[in-house]
Amino acid sequence: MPGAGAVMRRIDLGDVVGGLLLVAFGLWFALYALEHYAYGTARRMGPGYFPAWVGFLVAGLGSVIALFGLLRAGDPVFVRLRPLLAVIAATSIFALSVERFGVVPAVVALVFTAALGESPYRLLRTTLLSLGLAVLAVVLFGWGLGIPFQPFQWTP
Amino acid sequence: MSDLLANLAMGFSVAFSLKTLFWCFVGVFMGTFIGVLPGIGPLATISMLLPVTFHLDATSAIIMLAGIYYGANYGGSTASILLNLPGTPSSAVTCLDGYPMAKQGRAGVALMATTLASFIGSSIGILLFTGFAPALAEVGLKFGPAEYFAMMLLGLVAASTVATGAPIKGVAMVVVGVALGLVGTDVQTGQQRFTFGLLPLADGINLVSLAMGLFGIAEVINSVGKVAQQQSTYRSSVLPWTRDFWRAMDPGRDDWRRIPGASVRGSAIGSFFGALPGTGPTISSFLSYALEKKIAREPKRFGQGAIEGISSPEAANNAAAQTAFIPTLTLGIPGDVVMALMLGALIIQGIQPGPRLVSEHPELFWGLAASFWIGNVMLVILNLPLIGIWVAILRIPYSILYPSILVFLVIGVYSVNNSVFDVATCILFGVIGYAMNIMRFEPAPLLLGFVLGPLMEEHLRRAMLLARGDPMVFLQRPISATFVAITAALLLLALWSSLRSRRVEGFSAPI
Repeated sequence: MPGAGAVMRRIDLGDVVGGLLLVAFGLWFALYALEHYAYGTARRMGPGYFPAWVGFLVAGLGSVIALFGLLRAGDPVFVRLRPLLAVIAATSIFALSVERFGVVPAVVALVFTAALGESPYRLLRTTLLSLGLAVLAVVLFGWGLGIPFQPFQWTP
Repeated sequence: MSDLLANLAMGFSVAFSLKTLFWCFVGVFMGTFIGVLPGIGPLATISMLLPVTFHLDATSAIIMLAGIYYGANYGGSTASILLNLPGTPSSAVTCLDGYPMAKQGRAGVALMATTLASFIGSSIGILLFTGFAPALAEVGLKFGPAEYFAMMLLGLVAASTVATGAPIKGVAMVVVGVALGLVGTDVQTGQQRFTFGLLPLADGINLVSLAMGLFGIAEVINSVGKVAQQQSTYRSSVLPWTRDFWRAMDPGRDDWRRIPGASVRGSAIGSFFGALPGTGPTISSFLSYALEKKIAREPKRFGQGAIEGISSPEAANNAAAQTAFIPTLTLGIPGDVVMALMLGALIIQGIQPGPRLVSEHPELFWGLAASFWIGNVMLVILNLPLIGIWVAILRIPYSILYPSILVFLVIGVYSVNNSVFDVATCILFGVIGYAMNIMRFEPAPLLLGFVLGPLMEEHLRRAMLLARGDPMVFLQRPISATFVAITAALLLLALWSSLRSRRVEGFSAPI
């Protein structure tokens, strides 16, 4: 959080961007529903009726949010790229490797990648943690709860 | 009355079975654990353990999840008192007087007072739950689709406008949630909506993926590098069999007298606001603190370690955590997002919460009621004699915690359907959740809308069919008209407050 001395923007950037994204999503949702699904009547609503109204409502609310955002100052918007990328990469590596190489390599890869989100990189701690969690995953989830994943496999 | 006793006896026979006791213990233990840990709250934990519950029967599942929810309120106060850092949002207000007490060397006293107050609050909340829930279910049986639609509308609007920092953004998130809830097969026509030919989407977006993405992954991204290791102020003996341990917890005569009154007042506030949609433990705790300060003879003591300032809010948030189950189980209307997850867990188990739940699944309802008592007794034991364990847990560094959270999270998501697609969905919603966090849109209303959206569409279609397409039906039936009127009033209030100025930001503690 920025302190009181931080420079304030003239508009609330978060609200403007967020509101515009909602407008885009809402319009797309409503138009897609109208184009692909039967609308029906108020008495016998088709599968497109409710989604169309929900979509337009999202777009309407989004435009109000964006408009209000233009009219007032807001806190600056920060993106903390390093933890974002580390967490996405770590979880994606797990998703890509769990059915190809097994859960043990997947967990180890996840932990080593996730640790990149912080500095300093603690190699020993990360190694021990990854091994501990891999064992836990096999014992608790594999044997305990019967989730059918292999500790190791090779089907790239 | 004899009915009630017979039902309770049946409930206790369910709750005292070895299996149920075990899951109840797991729930309250996990609840205390994550309540103590800042940076992870009941919501993330319940979504993480949701997949585990699929392997249990419905009663054990709901008893465990409930234990996490009310257990977190006990644990949350520990972090507030010892670290001045709320473990859960509902314990944020406990920092105000709890931490000064700890600095004065009275941490033991504060822990004793909050545990006692929590127990009093829970007890009153449970009594109301067992008394009122069956009665409310009777009322609910008379509701038609129009009433249900109007009630869900009120619940969603209340939850998104009252408790959040920016009401319009809250409402927008609810509607986005409703939209996401529509993905999947339309139950009335069999039409696949927004699935883009992807087979796993035919059953809709996976609730676990959505919840874990928005609350688990997004929260981890947000906390990495920010949560520093904390030094606890608790210096007393940690061994429960020494005399020093108990002496450190003795509040002294003046404070002993203040605890019961404050706890009862807090319980009253908590019980009321817990049962209302949109308000819950957090708001109850803030309101009860304000009340105590107002009626105190020396308001100056507040902020410097007044024992009423911790007893009343802790009683309030625990009472609210119990009464929140009343509308969730008897009407199928979750008051907050944790309750929405409970609802989702029950629906996945094939049990539709609603007025028929009490009569159709008595073992679940009364077993849950009985488990509340057992769980709360377990919590008193966990939180007083075993306080040393929790103090030690506060020292786990986040650099160990967050990779572990991620591992449990992805394995949990994967295990629901043994599906990599679900993990990918979860990662996507993690990124969306982080983006929402940056732009200060709250994810909780989105999840609430997601759970209620499909039900709302169904009731709307049925109501309109019965009314031959006349939307005035919602205003002609008195109960539904009342709900619509309150909804409209809340929306006007929200619009007005948005126009007026920026409101105070919501409580952005861990969820």
